[in-house]
Amino acid sequence: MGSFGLVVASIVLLGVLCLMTFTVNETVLTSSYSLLRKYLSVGEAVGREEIRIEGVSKPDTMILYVNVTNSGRDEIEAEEIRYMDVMVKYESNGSVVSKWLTLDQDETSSEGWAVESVALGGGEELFNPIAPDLSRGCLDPGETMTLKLWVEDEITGSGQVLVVSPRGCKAYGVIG
Amino acid sequence: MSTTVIAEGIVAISIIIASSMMAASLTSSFQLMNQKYVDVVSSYEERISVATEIIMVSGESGGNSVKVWIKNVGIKGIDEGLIGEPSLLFFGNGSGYGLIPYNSSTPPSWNYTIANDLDGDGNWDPFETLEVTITLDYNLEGGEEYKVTFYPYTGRNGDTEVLSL
Repeated sequence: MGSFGLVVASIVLLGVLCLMTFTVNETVLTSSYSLLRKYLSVGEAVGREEIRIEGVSKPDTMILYVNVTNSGRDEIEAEEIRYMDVMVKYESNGSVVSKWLTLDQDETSSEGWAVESVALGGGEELFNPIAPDLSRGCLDPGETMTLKLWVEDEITGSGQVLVVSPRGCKAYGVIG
Repeated sequence: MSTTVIAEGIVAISIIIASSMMAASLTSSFQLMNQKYVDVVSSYEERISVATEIIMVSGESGGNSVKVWIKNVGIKGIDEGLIGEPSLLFFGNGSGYGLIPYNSSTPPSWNYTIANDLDGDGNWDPFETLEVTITLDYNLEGGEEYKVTFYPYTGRNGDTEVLSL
């Protein structure tokens, strides 16, 4: 009976130690995995998003058209396009002007930008067409959207257009 | 014989009691260690989740104000109360580079609006851009380079840009 008691006591002791080790390991592993997953998700999303400005045209001294291509691996949802930053820096009658433009799909304000059209290789976009009010659709990889930019003052000299994707990818274009 | 059984029984009970006491003590220590670990992980999570990037700086030669646009490129929104005072903004050139106070009544000072706060909640959510206005107590000079650095409230993932005039 004495030996049996010792065996039981040893088993109890081992059981308690195993349980504690399991609890600690489980917590450490869960927390580490959660942190790693978050870290990777941030890095992956940023790494996969990429945009490029194909060209800037100036049909009028106060209007610009900018062709922005999704050159990344992920689509950019129409809802996220609302969070793109469109900025211009240009010469106007001898002074340099820098502006952050507001998205205005209705083109009612005195300055702003709007998504004019979306195309794939010169033709119509095939997948996830973007609604005119940007409520649905996607800018899929390879697709090019034409942005219309308009400003209050005349663009009399050279300048630069900066478009920033929702996750912070920058693309520059030159105003000739 | 019965004396031996009683003695062994006492030893067994003593071992069980001792192991229980040790287990209780170790469990408490492990729980404390677990909590410390979870706190450290949470702190790191916050650091990697909050990230901002300066996307453009503008200012004119002879002027005393500078505009800075900063985008939230992290995965966590920044509450309204954590945007201004808890953030750090540095500006200047050469020896004049230094901390700019937030919302000070006299220059130098900086203030902000959220340029594209589409949900109107006042928080600086992911994808949103902060439009910062720095008012200086001197005029910017042409031909100079001014450095601007912004740190969100975590004090990590700061970003620096240069304004060339």
